[in-house]
Amino acid sequence: MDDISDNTALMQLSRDRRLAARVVAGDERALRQFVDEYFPRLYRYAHHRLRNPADVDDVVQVVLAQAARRLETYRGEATLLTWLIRICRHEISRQLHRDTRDSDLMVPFLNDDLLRSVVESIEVEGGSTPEADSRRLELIGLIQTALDQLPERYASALEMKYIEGLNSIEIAELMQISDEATQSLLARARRAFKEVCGEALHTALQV
Amino acid sequence: MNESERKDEEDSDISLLLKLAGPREKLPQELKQNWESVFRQELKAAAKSRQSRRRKWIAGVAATVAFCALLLNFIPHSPAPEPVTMVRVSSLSGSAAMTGVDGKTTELEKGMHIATGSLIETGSDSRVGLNYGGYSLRIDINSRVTLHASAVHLVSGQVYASDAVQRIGLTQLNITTPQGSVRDIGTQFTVRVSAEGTVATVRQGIILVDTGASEFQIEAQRGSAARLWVNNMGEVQSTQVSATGENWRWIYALVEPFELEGKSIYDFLQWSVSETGGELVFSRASDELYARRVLLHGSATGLDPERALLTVLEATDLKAQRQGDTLLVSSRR
Repeated sequence: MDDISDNTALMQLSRDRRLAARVVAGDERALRQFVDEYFPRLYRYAHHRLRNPADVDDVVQVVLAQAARRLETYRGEATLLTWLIRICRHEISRQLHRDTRDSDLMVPFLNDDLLRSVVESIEVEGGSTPEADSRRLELIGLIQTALDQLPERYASALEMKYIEGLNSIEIAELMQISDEATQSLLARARRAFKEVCGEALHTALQV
Repeated sequence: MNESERKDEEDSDISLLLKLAGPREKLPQELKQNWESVFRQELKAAAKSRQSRRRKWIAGVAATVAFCALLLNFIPHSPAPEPVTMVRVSSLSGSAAMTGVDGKTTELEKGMHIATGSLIETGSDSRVGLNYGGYSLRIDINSRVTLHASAVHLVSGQVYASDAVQRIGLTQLNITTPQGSVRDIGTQFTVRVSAEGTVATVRQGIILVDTGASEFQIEAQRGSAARLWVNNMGEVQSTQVSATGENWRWIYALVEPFELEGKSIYDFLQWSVSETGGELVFSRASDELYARRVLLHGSATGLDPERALLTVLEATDLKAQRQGDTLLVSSRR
């Protein structure tokens, strides 16, 4: 990671520490922010791994109960999202009787060659066999989890550009920033996306 | 491969991955509400547990604290300053009066600033809308309300409070009644006081009702409002009622009309949800873009926000559907 990334990560950790402390102290706005920011991400994380809506509901309720009880012990060693996902992963593993000693999925870095080979493997796997479908679902889960690891503005900008097909002027209008700032935001978002989903895709596709 | 070609390829690769993944799924509102409820309960339990752990420590230092407090009593100090809350008449229907702390009675006018400590009285045909520290506070007919810097005392009648406006200074609204107090936690609610007791109804968010003997947390549920009734004996009953419709229509009599001409659909939708409660959500970014770009013409004067929503969107390519606390806006196509 370069200096800028290091600083960004430190700022994120510091902001997460403050947010957790404010939630524990009973600050209503902080609680609202916590709910709006992290509940949808936990939902998607659990949903991609469990599929059954009832299981997702059960697991996330347990995760949130544990998180509420342990939040006062959060010291900002990892981001709040990573901290929550660890609890969630442990709970899912417990539910599925799986070994919980798996390594983190979100290990940076996706280089250009790796990105290309992942893309080529998707293009080759165009058919619809059960195995290909299963790999595709796994990949979708990984990509969406990677998006959730990004700051929300990055993820939204990437979705608008690549999924909805909006151009930078249209995105600028929606985000209420200049076209130049949007292009810069998109460049940073692309870089961050490549970083966070690299190793996850590498592992999933065994390229 | 040159830099530009490399960037183009990288762009198309990321595009392929994201298109494959599709848009991230939205958390269903019902789950969000349930989970928030679980999370709040556990936070509360954790706070109680912390308090209990601290008790031993507190007991250990209690003697020291008592000694310090005793010492402090001998040191002269000035009382804490009274907080300042800005109160202004934002809308008015009929004629209503204000009695100041000096006992002087004045007829209210739109835009007038009101000093804290004043009593506001409405008649059988008058209602008053206030900006109280950034909250929208609306007083129904036949009501008597005293405005303090840190609380609103409802002597009789009914008030509606919404935190949809940008708050300045106040972080929480506290409405006291003869039967207890009602505190908001980011919400829209009404409080009614009659000879039989106090009725608090919340249609968005959560309120805390303190009867003096106990505290109750009531939370609006998906698509319905929660109501708590406290009688003069301190007995409590709770029910679910509709979050829209006739019970809430009186508050729209005090809505400042939305000037439609030249405003975007987005501005109109924001106004509508700030009045009717809930969160504005677009199905797709392109729907939001459309809402921001298309300007409206004409007038919606005379229509309340619920009816105006249907009428105005009819003339556009968008449709709106209420899903619990969310107003989901999507394309008709």
